[in-house]
Amino acid sequence: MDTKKIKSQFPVFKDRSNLVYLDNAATTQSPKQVVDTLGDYYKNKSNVHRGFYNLAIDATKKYEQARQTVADFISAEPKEVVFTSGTTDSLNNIARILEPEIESSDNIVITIMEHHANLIPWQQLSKRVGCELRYIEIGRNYEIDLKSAKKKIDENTKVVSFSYISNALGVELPVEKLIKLAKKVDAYTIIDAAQAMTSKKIDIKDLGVNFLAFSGHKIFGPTGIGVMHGRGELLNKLEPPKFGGEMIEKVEKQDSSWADLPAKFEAGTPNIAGAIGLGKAIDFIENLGQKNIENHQAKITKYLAEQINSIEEVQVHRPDNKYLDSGIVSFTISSAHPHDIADILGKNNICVRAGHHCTMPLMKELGLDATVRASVSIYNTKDDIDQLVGVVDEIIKRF
Amino acid sequence: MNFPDEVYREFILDHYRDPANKGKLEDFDFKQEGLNPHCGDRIEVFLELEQGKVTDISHDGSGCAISQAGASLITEEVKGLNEQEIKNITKEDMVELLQIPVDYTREKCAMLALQTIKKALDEK
Repeated sequence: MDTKKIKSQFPVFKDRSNLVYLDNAATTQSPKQVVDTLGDYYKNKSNVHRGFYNLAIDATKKYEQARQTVADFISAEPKEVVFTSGTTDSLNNIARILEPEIESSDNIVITIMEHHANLIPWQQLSKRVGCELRYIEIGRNYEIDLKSAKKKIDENTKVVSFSYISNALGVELPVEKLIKLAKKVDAYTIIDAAQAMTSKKIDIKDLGVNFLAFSGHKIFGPTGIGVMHGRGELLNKLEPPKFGGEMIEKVEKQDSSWADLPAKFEAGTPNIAGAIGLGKAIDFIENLGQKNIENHQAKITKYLAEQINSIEEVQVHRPDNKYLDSGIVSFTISSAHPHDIADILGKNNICVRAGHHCTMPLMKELGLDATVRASVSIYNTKDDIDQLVGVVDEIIKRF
Repeated sequence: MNFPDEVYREFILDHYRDPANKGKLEDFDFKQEGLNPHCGDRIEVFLELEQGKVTDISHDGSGCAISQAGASLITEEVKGLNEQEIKNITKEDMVELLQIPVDYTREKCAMLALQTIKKALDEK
């Protein structure tokens, strides 16, 4: 890939030519066509679905076209694609939708690697219902322990929910194996794909998962937009988690009935600009080619892991030479705290993240308070990594 | 590269590498945990009080240079002070103790130990 050409499509680098942006697991930058789309919508603003004038008809067409784009991207049906405000919103919705299905004698299984967004909704659900919440453990080499998965998933398991890629460690989970274990006991399966959507080709039909959640802003799209994908037969059967305009068929004083999919799950005016922007972001990804994105991320991440690992004081928290396409490398230095490292990097225009990465139970399990996380995307170069490593070297000398 | 010497001065790094009053007090009257959820700083303070005055104090946990230097400095500062005197210590006093500019991203780090000491006194 021609990184220079790609970089020139992102307005942020025009305004900040020295920016080394390595916080892509938190959010990616947006290319010009996505940024322009947002402005275009607000210059021609209308609500969707109910207006009989051209502005409304145009907005509705674009909004529904975005849904089609998302559906094609994950090989799903458009009616199964529900727009939400992001992965967190999607996962909270899923937990609420499934709540009536779960009894106190059931158990819910997640992994110790989960982001709080795929942990707290299940934790609070288990408290409300009075059922057990189980964690699949992490094995050696920062990977999910399949033996633990086999032990934790049993005939009383009603839900198995896990991330495709750990946002804290960049490790890929054994998605197919976990789904297989869950299906064997007829549990609902949910994938938090927030970190996977740029480099992994997701085919809902192949995966055989019940629900999928992801965000727009981590795949070059706007903030405040995300997707909850649910199997049509399930979404038809289950009750919506939110109520209001758009999602009804008929409302009477004491009762209501629901609209068809996907409107049933989209109460209120949606994030129209966000959805259209997400559609454009997916077009951008498709044009680049996911295989090319995967290869570039793997190449730069390999260099990052090797260079940072070559510093004696650095400890890298991920397996060597695996899952490099995730773009994520978490590390610590014995002499300096992650917060200071990120602060000093930031003062050198190098953007990384320090902290627990919204995975406090995982950090505790690993005996860490925090790590520095550098995460790579399509516009990053080896020079970005050299700059990062140069500053880390200096920090070690000074601390 | 730009090393921010004005923040990471030798004075701060000295306190970070070798903080005063670090560890757990063997005999303490009160203890309190303090957390900075944004960056994972974690502190526990142990206080011994006699006739309303702090006679001994320590802190344990982990954190960045500023939070550790802050804990080192403030635990020295409050020894011998009474509750009211400690409650009167302000953010500005803390910045003065640290002798560095504290921008909003590091305010929580700078204030963590002081806030935890104040919380210990409030909840004792």
